Amino acid sequence: MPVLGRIGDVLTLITFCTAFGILLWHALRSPRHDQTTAEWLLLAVLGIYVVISISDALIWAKVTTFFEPYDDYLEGIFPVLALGVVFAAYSAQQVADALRAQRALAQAHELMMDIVDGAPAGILFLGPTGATVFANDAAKQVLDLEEDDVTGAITGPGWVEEGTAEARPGELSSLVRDEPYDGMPVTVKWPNGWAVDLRASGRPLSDATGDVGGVVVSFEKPKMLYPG
Amino acid sequence: MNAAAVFRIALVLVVLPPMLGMMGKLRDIPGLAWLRSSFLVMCVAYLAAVIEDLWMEPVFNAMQHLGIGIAGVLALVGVVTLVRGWPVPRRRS
Repeated sequence: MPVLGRIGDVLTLITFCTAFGILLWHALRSPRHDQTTAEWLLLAVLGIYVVISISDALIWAKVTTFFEPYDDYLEGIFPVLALGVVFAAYSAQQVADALRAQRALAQAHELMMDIVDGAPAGILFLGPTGATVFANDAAKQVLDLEEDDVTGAITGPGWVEEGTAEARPGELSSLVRDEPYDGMPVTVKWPNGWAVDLRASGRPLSDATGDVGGVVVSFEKPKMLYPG
Repeated sequence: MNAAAVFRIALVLVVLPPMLGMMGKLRDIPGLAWLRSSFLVMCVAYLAAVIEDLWMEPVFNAMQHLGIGIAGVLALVGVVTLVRGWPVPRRRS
């Protein structure tokens, strides 16, 4: 039995020292990457058994027993450090996945914005109070809307809706409904008297509580404005 | 009974479930199975270190030392696979 134990000690010394050396060589020559932290922690884990096996070898060769009292402490931190390796690798993977998803989302958003802005129809997103949250290029052109460069707020020249029961200047609140609609007539008037007739279609969107969180409104670009 | 050995095995029992759970979700790490096996064999060796104080001391002592040696072999294979198979390290952007 002691022979088997001795074989185990020799195996421990050779394998852990070799593994430590190879990983140290890799860690030193490779540039920083996603799993660098995990790699260095794994190196520390292997290093524990490098120290322990060298300590055992020194005891066996009757050189010194100086390191023996530290062996138990080192073996005690081994499981925690091993958990640290796995946690570091897992966290790095989670962060990399999140960054990848963020980039994919940004690309999808950019593509959708290109499609929406390039569409010939006017597209608006109105908040629950009727305030314009988003307008594509065609809608901005027809309704004379401007987007604030700093705040992103969309403002108009104070136009007025007609043909609706609750027309209020500066808003399209009458278009905010909890049911979808198609071809609803709405006349938009500017303070200078010019007006435009639109046929709007809307699709309400629910917020997290189930209430109407806004409406996506689209309308065909009118052929011309007329003096109202 | 060896208090350090008992403490060690208790610690292993605490860290093992989350460790195996996270390991199961890891991808793109070559040699992970070898490293996982190495850790599990090490756990068995730790268990043998506790048992050797209670029963069949020579057998479990040999088992402990041999277990750590085998864990070393598995770790070496794991590290070699890791170093050889790891793709060109991706730089942090």
